[in-house]
Amino acid sequence: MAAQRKPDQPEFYERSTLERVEYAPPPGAWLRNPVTFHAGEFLHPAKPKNLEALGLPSAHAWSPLDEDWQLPEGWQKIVLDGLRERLEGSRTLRLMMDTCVRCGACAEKCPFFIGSGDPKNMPVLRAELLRSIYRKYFTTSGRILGELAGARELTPQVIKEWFKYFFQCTECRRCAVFCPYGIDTAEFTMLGRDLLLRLGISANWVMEPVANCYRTGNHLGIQPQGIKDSLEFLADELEEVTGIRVEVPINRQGAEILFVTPSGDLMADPGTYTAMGYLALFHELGLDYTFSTYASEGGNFGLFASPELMKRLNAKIYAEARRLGVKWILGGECGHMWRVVHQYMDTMNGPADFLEVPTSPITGTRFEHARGTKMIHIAEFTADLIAHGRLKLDPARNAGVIATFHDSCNPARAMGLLEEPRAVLREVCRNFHEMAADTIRERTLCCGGGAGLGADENMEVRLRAGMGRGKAVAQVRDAHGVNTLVTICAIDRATLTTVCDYWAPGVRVAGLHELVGNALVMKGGKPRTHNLRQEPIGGEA
Amino acid sequence: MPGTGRHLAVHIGGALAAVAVACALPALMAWLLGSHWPVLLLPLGLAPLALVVLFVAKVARWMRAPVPFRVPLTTGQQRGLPTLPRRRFDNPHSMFEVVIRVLLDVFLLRPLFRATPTAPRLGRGLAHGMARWLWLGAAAFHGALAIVALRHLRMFLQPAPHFVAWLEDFDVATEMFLPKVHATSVILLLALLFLLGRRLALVRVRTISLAADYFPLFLLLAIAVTGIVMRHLTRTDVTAVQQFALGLAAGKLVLPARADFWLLAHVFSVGTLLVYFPLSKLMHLPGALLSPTLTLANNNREQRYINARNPRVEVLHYADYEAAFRDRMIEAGLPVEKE
Ligand code: SF4
Ligand code: SF4
Repeated sequence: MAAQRKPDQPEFYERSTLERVEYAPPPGAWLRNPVTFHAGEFLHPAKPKNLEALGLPSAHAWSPLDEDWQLPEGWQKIVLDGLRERLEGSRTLRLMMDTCVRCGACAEKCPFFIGSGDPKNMPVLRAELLRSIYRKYFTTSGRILGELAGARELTPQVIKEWFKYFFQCTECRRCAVFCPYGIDTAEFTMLGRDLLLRLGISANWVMEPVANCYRTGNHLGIQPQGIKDSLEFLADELEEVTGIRVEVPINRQGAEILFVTPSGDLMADPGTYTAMGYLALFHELGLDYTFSTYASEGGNFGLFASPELMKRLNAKIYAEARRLGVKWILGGECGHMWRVVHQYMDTMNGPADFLEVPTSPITGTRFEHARGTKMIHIAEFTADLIAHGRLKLDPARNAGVIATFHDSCNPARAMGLLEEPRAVLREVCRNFHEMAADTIRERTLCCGGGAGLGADENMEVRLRAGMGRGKAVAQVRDAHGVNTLVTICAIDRATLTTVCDYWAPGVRVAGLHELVGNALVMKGGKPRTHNLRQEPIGGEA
Repeated sequence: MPGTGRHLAVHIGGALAAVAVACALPALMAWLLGSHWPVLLLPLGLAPLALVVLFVAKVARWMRAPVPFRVPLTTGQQRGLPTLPRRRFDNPHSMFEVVIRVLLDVFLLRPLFRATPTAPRLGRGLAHGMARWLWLGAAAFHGALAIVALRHLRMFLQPAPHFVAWLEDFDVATEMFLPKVHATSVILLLALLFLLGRRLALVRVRTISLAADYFPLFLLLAIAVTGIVMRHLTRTDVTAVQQFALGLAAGKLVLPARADFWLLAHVFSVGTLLVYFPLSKLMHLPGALLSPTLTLANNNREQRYINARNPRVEVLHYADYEAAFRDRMIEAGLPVEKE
């Protein structure tokens, strides 16, 4: 068997090897140490067709293993011009370039450093990879003093290093929580990826979803009829369990609410169970809503490529809301989608003055805190229903579930959506145990696969970065018998499944609204004997 | 630390050399200049001016760049449903809450205080290295530095403001020495040594440290040591210095009798610090107060944030989308705009 294991499979890696992390940096100054690549730690390069589909420059074939990456003519100028443009356009970047004191408070807070011990995975050094170039070409001291000022030449080696380490960061912002100046290394990662993209250097796991989403409206490239098929299939499955046939409205003009969720939840387990939860809830409430095929993606991998690509993908949500004439927008469970919706959407593609302040048709609550963007999170929506006692729930249907909750990085550190999902979870599941305090809420540890890192070919990196989270899960599994990790992120549902199977076997991953769907007492239908996964209630795991 | 020797030699050596120059050069010059030594005071007098000009220039340079997006870092429950307990000063929503958040984060170094040791059972790598020691060291250093600096106001203002005398009274002092040694002087020195020791002892911090990190530490140590030597060992005539400083403040030149090595080293290191400050990472003070992740309110969904440079981008419009998939949409029974 061993012979068949490949670096893109978790089984390839011995637990004891991954756990033996060496935290002492290798000899030599980091500025000079060459960068190397081995299978399991890098993402496949973006295919030229995906860059071309988006009209991006310098699309070319290359491999991280090649000596020569075929950088385009004048590549240094492209990078430095790009850097200048971004610096002039962002005080945030200027401050973060100038104010770091290299205190190292962020160093061992990064899940990638925790799991790898690679010094360049310390957030401060990740930032220095760029800052050293900034010093050389944009500061007097760097120009004159060179290495003494921590400056260095822009060589192809630097580009390789950027590709390696800016794709070993999930832009999770945990580092920023501990930095006395709030220096956010995710900003450096975003900048670095943006500069690389100008050279045609990116990861296919990022650029294929972007290209798909641009063309078909969703990351997976599902065409409109495919969306319909998937949703109908989920409705069939739901009918098996509940005996109730739910309507699935798609592209319906004049609906009150446009519902946008990550497309991954329509296609793959365990996200599909969460999607079934939505369908059950909306049916039971008699919600006047619609899915859209044009805006069939809540997520936005453009966030992981460049601000312009983020804007190009995000534009569809407001455009579709306007076309369909809805009143407001409801968003599903997703992490980075909410980073974009909360912090970028209104600025980039607003104002949403053609919509109305989101108001729950069931409870009458006006969600004033979303009166600009006109979009609320489904955990807010459901928590409000529960606070008003408008849902009939039977938590006994989740009796076999002993849950813990994983805060996804973006809702936690870019919104502060911490209590809403917990308020819902406590009502639908009686057994709930928090993980160690330093691994949840604003200090939550990473799944290791966000920001376009959720591929298979970089499995070693994912398992290492997920080690902290995995061990915290194993701790509550051993202490309280936890068997289900609940999360409100579509990427988590995929990546944490791998992480839990490896580091905390016996724990599976579920979306919040999967448990809501289980507990929801619906009018009509048949007595529930099975949960949404079609397992006998109380009998599983 | 095999192989890192060169890195350390370059950055520690460079920083030490620079500090040595800042301390010893003025004394050497004074010796060479003989009775003309007061000429040296001219460039020194320019140091505060340089500080102000360079400081303003730097901040202006920052401020000229726009903040494209409102991307605050939230470290607590948002303002949303009224039933949920929110953390106003971790996730500020109004200007007032932002101000308190920044005060807590910047002046109490709250982010460093967050570094509690992670549940030890999770494993070695998850235990946060020095936990709260860095917070303690940094707080002690900044606090002591501020008090020592304020104490020096006595040199420039006559009569000294009340709070200076008040500071002197409350700054626990031992009577063992004359003039008495203030607790803050000792704390400042120890904190500096701690910060330097930590930088050298923690291998990952040593790896990231540059000359620009050692230089201010060495310089501040030089300032502290020369100050203490002057006050307690050589008993340099500080009244003459005071007369000189007060004279300057009043626009008169009252020269001390002779150039004292320790005094020159002390004041020239301070001068160096003043000029170096706005050119370096020491700008982290205004930097923290301007940091967009800390100083922006998390009210994004309530109030639209305007990015003046919001670029126009190419978008795939619905009409083109429908044109590409119309047949399949019709076949699947999905509504279309054009049949
Ligand atoms: S915590 Fe902040 S200031 Fe300290 S090294 Fe990290 S980024 Fe720099
Ligand atoms: S954003 Fe997250 S992954 Fe990236 S450097 Fe910071 S802690 Fe590490």
